[in-house]
Amino acid sequence: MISQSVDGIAVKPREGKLAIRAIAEIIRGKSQAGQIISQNEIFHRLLERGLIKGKKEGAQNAIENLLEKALEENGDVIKLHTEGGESYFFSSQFMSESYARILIQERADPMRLIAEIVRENSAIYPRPVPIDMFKHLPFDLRLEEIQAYLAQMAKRDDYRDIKQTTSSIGTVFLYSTLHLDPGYASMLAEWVDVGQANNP
Amino acid sequence: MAEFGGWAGKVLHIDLSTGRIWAEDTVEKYKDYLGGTGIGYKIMWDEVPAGTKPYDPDNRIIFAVGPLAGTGAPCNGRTAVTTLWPTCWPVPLVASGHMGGQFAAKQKYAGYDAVVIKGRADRPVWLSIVDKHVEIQDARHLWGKGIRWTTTAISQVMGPEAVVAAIGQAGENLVPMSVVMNSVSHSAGGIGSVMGSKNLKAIGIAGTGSVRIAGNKDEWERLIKYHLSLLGANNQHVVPSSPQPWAEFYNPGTRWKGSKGLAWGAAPHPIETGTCDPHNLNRIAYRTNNAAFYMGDIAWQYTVRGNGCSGCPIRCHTMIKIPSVAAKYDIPEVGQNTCGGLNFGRSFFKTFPDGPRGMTNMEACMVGMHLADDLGIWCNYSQLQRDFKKLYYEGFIKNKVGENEFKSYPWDKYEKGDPSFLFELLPRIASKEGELGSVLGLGTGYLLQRWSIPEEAWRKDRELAYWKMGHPKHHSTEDAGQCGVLINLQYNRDPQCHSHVNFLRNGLPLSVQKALATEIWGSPDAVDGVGAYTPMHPSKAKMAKWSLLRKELHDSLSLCNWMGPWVASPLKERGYRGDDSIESMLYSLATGDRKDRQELDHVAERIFGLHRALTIRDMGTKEMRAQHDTIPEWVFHDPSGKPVYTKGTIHMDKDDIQLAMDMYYQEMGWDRATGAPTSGTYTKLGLKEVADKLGKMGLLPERIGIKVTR
Repeated sequence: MISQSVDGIAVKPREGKLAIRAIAEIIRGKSQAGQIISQNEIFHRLLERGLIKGKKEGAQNAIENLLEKALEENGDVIKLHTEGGESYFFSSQFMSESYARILIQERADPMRLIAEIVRENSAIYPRPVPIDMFKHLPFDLRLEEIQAYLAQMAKRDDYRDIKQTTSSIGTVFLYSTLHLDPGYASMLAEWVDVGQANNP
Repeated sequence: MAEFGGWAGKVLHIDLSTGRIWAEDTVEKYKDYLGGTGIGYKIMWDEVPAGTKPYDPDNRIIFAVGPLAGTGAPCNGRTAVTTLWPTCWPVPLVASGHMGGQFAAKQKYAGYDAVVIKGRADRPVWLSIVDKHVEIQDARHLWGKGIRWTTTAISQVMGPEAVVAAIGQAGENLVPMSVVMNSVSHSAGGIGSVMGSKNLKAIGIAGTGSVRIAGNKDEWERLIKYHLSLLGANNQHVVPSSPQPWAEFYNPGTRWKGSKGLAWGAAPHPIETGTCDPHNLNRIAYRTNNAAFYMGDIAWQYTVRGNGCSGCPIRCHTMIKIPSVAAKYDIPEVGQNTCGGLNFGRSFFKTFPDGPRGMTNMEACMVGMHLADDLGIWCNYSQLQRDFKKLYYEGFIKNKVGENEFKSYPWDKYEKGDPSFLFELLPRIASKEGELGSVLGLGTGYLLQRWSIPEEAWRKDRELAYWKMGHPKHHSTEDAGQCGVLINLQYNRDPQCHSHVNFLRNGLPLSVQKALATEIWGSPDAVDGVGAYTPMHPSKAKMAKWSLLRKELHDSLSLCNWMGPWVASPLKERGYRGDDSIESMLYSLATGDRKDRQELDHVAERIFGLHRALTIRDMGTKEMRAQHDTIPEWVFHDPSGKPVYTKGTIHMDKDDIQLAMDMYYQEMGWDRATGAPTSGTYTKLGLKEVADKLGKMGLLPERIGIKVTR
């Protein structure tokens, strides 16, 4: 395990090996703290420590090579892309890919994240998702934000499968009609919210 | 004879009628029945003849533990209490209650695998057990006092190391719906009045001994760590309820509640539960918060910590502290429970002014726990609450009790969801005051009989969750389709079997559960998604058998069936597999009696077979299929009219269930027509003398069932 904080990495002469090692440690440190890190953030960390020098444009090219090497040499370091082409990194020693994808999508497109989570839950468990789940970590959205996203989704064809159902004690759940029919979703919501506690 | 580890070595007998106290060797007589319910059923078979009633002096109460109690094995803190069951209707039959807490370990350290009580004292007494020193003490000064006062009084005599199991006023007054409670809040339901009938107020137990592990100590240590590594949260839920950095999956329905940002708010300094990576074995206790599971997130600020049984890392017995209730209701501000007590409010009241998960619900739980746990009232898995609601709202109470008595209750408080209503009702149940107080304490079967309500009215009502013989279902169709039905047929009270539901609610995606099911029971068709049931399959019968045998095994070894078996785990690197041989590995190393998984399951089958034999003998019939293994009508109906085997309904098909019973009886080696074990099956299980006796009574099936295929 890496126990040093990211900020504890010593400033060293600009040697590739040190930079590669620093990259792996930075990524692991962030993952251990429950966070992902973008390529751009890694770039700035290395720049701050003087492990990369020169003009910004040239340094950007250098870091891509260093990142590739870091990925080759450290099997736990994983790179994920967004649809917009931005790269993010995490360490599988401390973080699952599914969690990393949540964090990435939360930065990029929270509305789409909500829909993906709902669809995934509806498909694989299968179950609807309580709307309140998005108020807590790692989503950490305010109820007004969630409701605003749902209002937007309701107007878009590409989100028309995202529906709501309410349990008998008033908890709102979201599900995807791609994977759950309304009757089954309603039954599952009632089971999760009321039935399981009444059948302890 | 080989010297075994695990067992303490002695079964203690006390005859309260004569004052005689003696001990016999455990291993010599009971090794083939392990401990716990195994010893309980064996003694009931050998010593308590058919026709004995629960309150007869000849009835036994058997407090028994297994060879793993008091060791370092995780989840070993359970005591099985076996007796003739006072709420079993219409004929009292053998059943067991179970209590956690600290009693099991203390009993082992005192030197006893079982404490067997018979007879009836001529005045209230309590038992003092300190190693070999066993005394019958005068309890007249304790009689009439609640469980907490009694526990304190005895602890002051015996010292803080003693554990006290006591009954309250309900048990003293022979209210069948009563408990024995140890360590103040750990109860075994149904036992209280049997103790009361013997004038036995309490047992105080302390011990200076230890439990010997027969095997290599380093190997034992490694096995314990291995077992710990496979643990989930309470009920072996192996997936956290919210996304966690380390976790591939999450499930809002699980009991794995710990998370960054969620803290035990009522601890002296708020304690964050954190992400609870399963590889950190020192963080197991932070995973579960049953107060939050039942009461909602509001409970976090009132949570002190997780409490629980001796040596168990799960800490499922959540302690909550609500200072406002002390002033408002004049009750202690602290309460603790794992299950029914934390759901008391919502199960008792139809509505609360601030909703089902508000402050009033919490207050009702605190008041309910305070009263029921001190008076020693049993809720019978919340059947008391469900019966009460129906009886009130459908006018039965108003019709059946006298006008003056009816008016003496503040019904407006009940309808408004005012917790203070419980102060009016629960003490009357404990003291059998009035018609309502008396009838509610009888248990459902005798209540229906007394008020001339046909049992069919309860067997048709899905909301009541009533099953048969005066008891509710316990994890049936709502969780496990046909497997759940089969499990609920088997006992003389609610089955208290969690083997199946621990797996089905573990939080893993259905595809992962099916992959594990293929390895364990031979086919992915053993499990269905909840509410997406498919027709009966032989693997479901295998799952039912496995579930029941493991329940008996746990109750006999002293492992907690609310946690095991451990066939799934939170570890992705294991493919979320647990280990189906945990029980046999622990048993073999602790005792030195090497048995693999199949061999130990065979012993469990022997114990379960003896329970079946006791039921047949004491019912006086071999027609178990028709007369004992019965199913309430609500199982076969859906209020919305959805057809069976469609998504969104849990109801069953009658023909399919008959096929399920055929397949299950075949798995068990029982006659298909009668549901009774055959002579050959008893003999295979080492119960030939049982078969011989039943044969002489005409209680063996006369023909063998035909092999069933679909």
